[in-house]
Amino acid sequence: MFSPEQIRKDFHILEEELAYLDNAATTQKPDNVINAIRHYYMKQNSNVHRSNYELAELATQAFESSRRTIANFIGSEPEELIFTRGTTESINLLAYSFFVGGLIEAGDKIAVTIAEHHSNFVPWQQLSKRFGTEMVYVDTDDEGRISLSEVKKALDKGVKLLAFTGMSNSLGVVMPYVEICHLAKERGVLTVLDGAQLVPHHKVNVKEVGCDFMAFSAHKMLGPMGIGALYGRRELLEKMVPFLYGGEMIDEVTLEDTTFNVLPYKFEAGTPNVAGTVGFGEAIRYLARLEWGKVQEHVKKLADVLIHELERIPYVEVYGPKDETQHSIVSFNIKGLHPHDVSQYLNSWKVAVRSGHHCAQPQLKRIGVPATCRASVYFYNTERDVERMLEAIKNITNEFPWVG
Amino acid sequence: MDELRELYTDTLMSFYLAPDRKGEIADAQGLEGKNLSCGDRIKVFLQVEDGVIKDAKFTGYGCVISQSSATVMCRMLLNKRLDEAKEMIDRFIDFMQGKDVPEELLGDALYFEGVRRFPSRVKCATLAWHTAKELIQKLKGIQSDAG
Repeated sequence: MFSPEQIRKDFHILEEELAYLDNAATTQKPDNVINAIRHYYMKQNSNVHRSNYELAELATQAFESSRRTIANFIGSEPEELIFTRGTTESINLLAYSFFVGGLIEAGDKIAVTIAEHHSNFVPWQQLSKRFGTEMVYVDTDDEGRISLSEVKKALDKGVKLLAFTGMSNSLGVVMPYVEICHLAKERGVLTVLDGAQLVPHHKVNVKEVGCDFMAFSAHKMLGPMGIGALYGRRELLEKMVPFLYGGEMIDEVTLEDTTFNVLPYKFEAGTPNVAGTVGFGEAIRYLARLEWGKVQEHVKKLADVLIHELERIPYVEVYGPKDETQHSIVSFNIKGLHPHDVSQYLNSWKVAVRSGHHCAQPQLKRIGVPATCRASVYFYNTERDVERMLEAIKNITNEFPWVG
Repeated sequence: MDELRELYTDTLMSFYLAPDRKGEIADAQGLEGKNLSCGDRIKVFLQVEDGVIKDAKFTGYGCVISQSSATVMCRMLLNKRLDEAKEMIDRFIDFMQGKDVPEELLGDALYFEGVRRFPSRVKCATLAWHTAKELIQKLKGIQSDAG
C-alpha cells in the first residue's frame, strides 16, 4: 500500500514543520540512503579497483553493485552506465568528447530545445561557437510544450545531434520523448536525453525509449549530491574519446602513448565518489520498491490541486500547459510582487519553494517572464503541504495589500 | 510573521510602491547591473555636471528590497560630488555586509538594517549600489580623460 504518511517516517528532515516543495531543485534523503553512506565509511571505505585486500574488495563490490542496480533500473547494461558528478558533468562529458574526438565537426548542426536547463544548452552553444558548428533551436509553444512538427522541422535541417529534456525543469512539461527519439532515429540523428527531472518521476527504460544517451542526477531522486550517471549506447561509447584523463581510465601508459581501459572505466578517471555511488544505489533500491503507478498518481494529483486552486485566485498567474503533460512542477507569479518576495513570504509560513529563473532563461523569455515561483512536489508530500501553501497564498494580501 | 515584518518594513514597502526615482534620463550615462542568482536587471542613470550628480534615476524589474533600495539610493545620490557618492556607496555596501558603520553616516540607508539578517537578500539590497559604483568609476574615468 502506498501511503505518503508512512513514507514520511523514512525522511527525518520532514519531521520538522515544513512544507518542502522544492523537489525539482533537490529531494530529501531517506534513512536507508543516509545509513548506507555511513555504513560505507564505517565498514567498507578504501579505494576501488586497485588493491586486493579484503576492504578494497568490499568497496569495489559496493561500487559495482550500485552500478548494476542503477543500470538495471533504467534497462541498460552496467558497462553502459558511467558515473559522473551529475547531469551537468554527463552532458559536458558528451559535448567535449564529441567535439574533441571529431564525432562532431565544423559545419555540423546541433539541435536543442528552448525548454532546456542551462546545463543542456550552454555546453552545446559554447562549444559550437568554438568549433564552428551551427545551433538549431526547437521552439516550444506558449505553454512550454514541444510539438513533434517543430522537432521534425529542426531535424530536417540536417542536424547531427538533438539534445533535449524529457521533462522541463521550469514548467514541468513532460515531453513526447519516445516519439522524439523515434523521429531522430529515422533520420540517423544522435539523441541526448536530459533525464534530470524525468527519471525521478517516470520509469525510463533507455532501450525502449531508444535514446542514444541519457544524463541524470542522484540528488533529484533521493540520492546524495555530487553523483549522477550517463547512459550511452555501447557502440557509441566505444567510438568516443575519453573526457577526463588520469588514473583508472588507462589500459597501458608508455612514454610514447596511452591505451585506454574498457567501458565504463574509460570515462571514469580518478578516484570516484564511491560513497556517493553507494547512496545512489540505495536511493534506486528505495524507489524500485515503490508502486510507481500510485506514486505518479499521487504526485500528479497534488500538482493538479495546486494548479487549479492557484488559478482560482485572481492575482495569481500559473504557467505551463495545466493538462496531462504537466507533472510535479507548478510555476506561477503573483501580480504586483516579485517571485523573491513571494518565496520569502512563503518561508514565513514554513513553505519552501524556489524563485528565480530556474537556470532556464530561454524558456522563461519565451513565455515572457523574467522569473517565477516554482513549487515542485514529490511522493512524500501530502495534501497538508499543498493546503498550507494555498492558505498562505490566499492570505498574501494581509502582508502585501497592493497585490491583486 | 514577525520575522517577515523585520524585512518588509512599512518604510520599504512605501518606497517600493512610490518609486519616485524610476525612469530614464535622456542623454545621461546609464549602466546595467544584474543579480545572477535571480536574473534581475537594473539600470542606473546618472547625470553629472562639474563632478556633481544633478540627477539620478533607475529602471528595471525586481523585488521589494532591490526596488526600494534603488529609490533610496537615487535620492541620496542627488547633489553629491562623485567622490562623496562613491564613499557613501562603499559605506552602504560595508554596512549590508555586516561591517560596523557609524549609524549617523548612513542616513536613509539605515532603513535597510533589517535586510542584514537575511543573507540571501543582501544581494537584492546592494544591486543598485554596486551598479552605481561601477558607473561612477566610469564617469570619473571620462572626467579625468577630459580634464
